Amino acid sequence: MPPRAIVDFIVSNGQGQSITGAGGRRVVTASGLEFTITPKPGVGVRFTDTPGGLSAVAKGDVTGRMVPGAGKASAPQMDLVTSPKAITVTKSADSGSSTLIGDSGVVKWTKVGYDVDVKGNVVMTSEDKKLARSFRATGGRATVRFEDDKSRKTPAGGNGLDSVIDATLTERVKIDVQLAANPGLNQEKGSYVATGDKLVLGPRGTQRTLTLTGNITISGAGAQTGTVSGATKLILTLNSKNEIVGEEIIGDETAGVPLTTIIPLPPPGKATGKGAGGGAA
Amino acid sequence: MRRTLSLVAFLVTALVVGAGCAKGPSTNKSGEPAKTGAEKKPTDASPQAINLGPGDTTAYTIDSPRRPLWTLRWESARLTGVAQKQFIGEVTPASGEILRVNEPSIPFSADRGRGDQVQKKLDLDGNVKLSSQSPKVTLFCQSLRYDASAKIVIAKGNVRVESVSGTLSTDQELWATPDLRIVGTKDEFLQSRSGLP
Repeated sequence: MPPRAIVDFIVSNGQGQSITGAGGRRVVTASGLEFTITPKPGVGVRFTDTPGGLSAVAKGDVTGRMVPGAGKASAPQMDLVTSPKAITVTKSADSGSSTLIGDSGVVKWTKVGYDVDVKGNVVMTSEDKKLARSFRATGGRATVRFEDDKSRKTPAGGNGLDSVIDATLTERVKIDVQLAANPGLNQEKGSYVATGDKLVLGPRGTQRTLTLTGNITISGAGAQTGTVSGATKLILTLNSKNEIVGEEIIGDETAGVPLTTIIPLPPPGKATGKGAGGGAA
Repeated sequence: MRRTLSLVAFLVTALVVGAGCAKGPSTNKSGEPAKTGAEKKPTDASPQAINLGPGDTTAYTIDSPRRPLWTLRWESARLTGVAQKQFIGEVTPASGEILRVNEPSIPFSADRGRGDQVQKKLDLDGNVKLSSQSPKVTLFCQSLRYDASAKIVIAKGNVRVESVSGTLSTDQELWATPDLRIVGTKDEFLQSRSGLP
């Protein structure tokens, strides 16, 4: 059997916008930069660009290049760091996959599937190509349970997060949150980045939740999300398509840290009449 | 024929061949008497090589109670004398099974194989494949050592472990139980197998 190429990459522009994916595809970031990944098994590459906040993390044998996008005078300076010691665990399904990358780890196969425990610079991604949904989180350690099935006929055979029975990420957790438009909840489509100490992906179901606890910060560029600090718990509710349809931000008054939400004013002439202003929640 | 081949095969799987290990006449592929270590008595000063044809052997522990370690099959084998009554044997290509008491055997294959019955170690090199049936998991790598005493498999070089829907891949050295139920980097594997958190 020929080696299976496994490449996962994450690109973010430091403003809550990111792209995740797999394979030798060409991607264009939100800030107009683009690069090409050619997968060859075995080597990891990490691009970082501190001043611009742009970063790319890749696992697999990768050759990458970054070039300026339209309207850009030049490409930013990139640091290239190889990380050949990474360990990658991929759960593949009919139309998507979930991938865990870490510096070290162990997998235990059980009667129903396999339990994964990875440590180090952990990156967890999940993709559902049919629903065009992706999930990405980073941390220092992740424990994830998968059922060993790739058929949609079973509950765990699904794509993306459906393939994960449950998961816990700890240590410097960071998640990219993609919000779906939900007129019923007055929620606009958007995205933001949340950081905390522990992230728990609850059991599968119609009301699956992602719970982030610890010292939480939320930053986003959207008119609704803004920046939140002082929160101790963030609960995201997913629908059957793994869209985030509800969010609850909880503070702890006894901790003595006020829960603060800062929502940027819309640009002049583009006032929408909602989401502007700021204040304490 | 099968029995005599096995007797010769024993020489191949044992890095250290004792004087009483090859009793009775044995033949190689062409039917000629095989040149055993006991007959030639090689010394450090006069190393020699013996080529063998297809064969197989089952290695057992030397100490009592004897238990099976592995079965090794090959198309050709080469014994090289390294010292008085001592030979190193390498077989190509290698295939066989890791044998366990009251447990299913674990089939393997590789370009080359080398067994050490005294040290209870089996080394496989080149396109190594180890397939467990329970759980149904297959390991691929460039080189592998099976330590029968510790019941540990150590895989190196483009290591990949595949099940129905899952794939574990790394360039690191991976440690595993022979049935591949637990697979991981060294520290995490040892910690996991010892039951520590």
